Amino acid sequence: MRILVVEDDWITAQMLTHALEAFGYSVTVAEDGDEAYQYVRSGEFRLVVTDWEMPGMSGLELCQRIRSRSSGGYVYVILLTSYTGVENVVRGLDAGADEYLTKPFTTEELAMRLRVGERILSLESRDMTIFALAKLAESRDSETGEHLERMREYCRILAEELSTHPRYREIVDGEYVAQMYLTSPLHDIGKVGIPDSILLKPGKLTSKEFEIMKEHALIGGRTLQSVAEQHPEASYLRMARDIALTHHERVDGGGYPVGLRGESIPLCGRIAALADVYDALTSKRVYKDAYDHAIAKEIILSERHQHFDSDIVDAFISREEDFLSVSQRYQSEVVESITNESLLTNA
Amino acid sequence: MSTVTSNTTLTPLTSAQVLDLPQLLERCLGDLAFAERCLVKFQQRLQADVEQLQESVNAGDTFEVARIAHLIKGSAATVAAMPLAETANAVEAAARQEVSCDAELVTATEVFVKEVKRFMDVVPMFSTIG
Repeated sequence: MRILVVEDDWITAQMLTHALEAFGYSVTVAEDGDEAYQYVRSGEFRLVVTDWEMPGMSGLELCQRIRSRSSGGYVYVILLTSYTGVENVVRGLDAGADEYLTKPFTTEELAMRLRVGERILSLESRDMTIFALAKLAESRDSETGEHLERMREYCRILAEELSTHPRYREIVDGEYVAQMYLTSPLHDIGKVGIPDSILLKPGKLTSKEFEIMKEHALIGGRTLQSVAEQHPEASYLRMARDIALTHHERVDGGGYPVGLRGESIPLCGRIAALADVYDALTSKRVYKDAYDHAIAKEIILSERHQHFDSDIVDAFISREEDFLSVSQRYQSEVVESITNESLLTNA
Repeated sequence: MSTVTSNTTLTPLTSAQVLDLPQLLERCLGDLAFAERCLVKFQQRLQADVEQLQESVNAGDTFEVARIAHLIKGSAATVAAMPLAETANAVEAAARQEVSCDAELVTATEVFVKEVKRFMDVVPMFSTIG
């Protein structure tokens, strides 16, 4: 990640650069606030460590200028200064600094404060934006109802169950579960690139049309890959990419778009595959009625080692009551919604 | 405004009291060669900054005195020369007083200049640390 150091003192600038580069950051140094502000305006820096007292624009003024900008993403600012005392800390934070560190810095504290900054940046509006994007993509395909809401619940349940499994305990922690919940709604985002004539076709797709439909996995995967490359600090984007790209792969190698096999399919893709199919089976479509849970379960069991990873099938079996509960909850919400609409129409 | 002289007497300090080497090395992530380069650069800059500061004191330009003292305080603290940072802080505080007190500023500057001399005398022994 890129970081902007704003410091007119050569020694401090060198020491900060030395430490930050060792932490893995790419460092640019500006010698005063004016130069720094030009860098910030380029949009290439979202982490800034700035001195307070500098010739020209001070660090305090720089904070105020950054906060008064109406465009661009959030810029996380750490004020690093020789000014001590509560009054100065209040002035610094009031000007818009996120953190206030006094010189001399310790490398350990600096690294910790920067990690906090990275976390904040990573979380910025992300949850709402992701789900809004997913809903927007889904809105073209009106028959799927509350598919995204159910899908993320199923993914969360499966990931939670796998987190108790010795094979997955080191991989699937609380953050992994949260990221599955966050990113799984993006699995079909590539459908925005599929023509209406195919996506909304009421009947069965021809083999040629199906080939085009299959491209949605690649489209989604590539789109999210390009976003992930621009934000390498956001690990959830890599998970979103993996899910979009691989949720139609099968462990027997018969899936698409690549035909990956077994564990070469990312775990998140294998989880999303089962969640997606379960929801498709238990939901009504133009071409079929909703299957009940018992039939869906039977189909999923029959696909163990073929379509689905056996560990994930086991997780599904262990938590089938939770799957059923989610399925029923969203069905009753749909019924309630329809009833309310009828009452309003008749009023 | 009184002129800065070097009449103040201070007890000689050991090298450890002039420079906190473990703290400096922590900040340099244990890179001795880098620590030495920073010290050399700091010494070079310090001499020029001190001369400029003394000229500003003698000229009664307290704004400039405070600015230079603040700069030295920050870089001295960064290279872990804590007594030097503290005496620079005293100069800055005296220069920033709302009611100017020449005597206090001159005394603070004399103490600071003495500390600079100690630092210059002691630090060359660190040139072999790398």
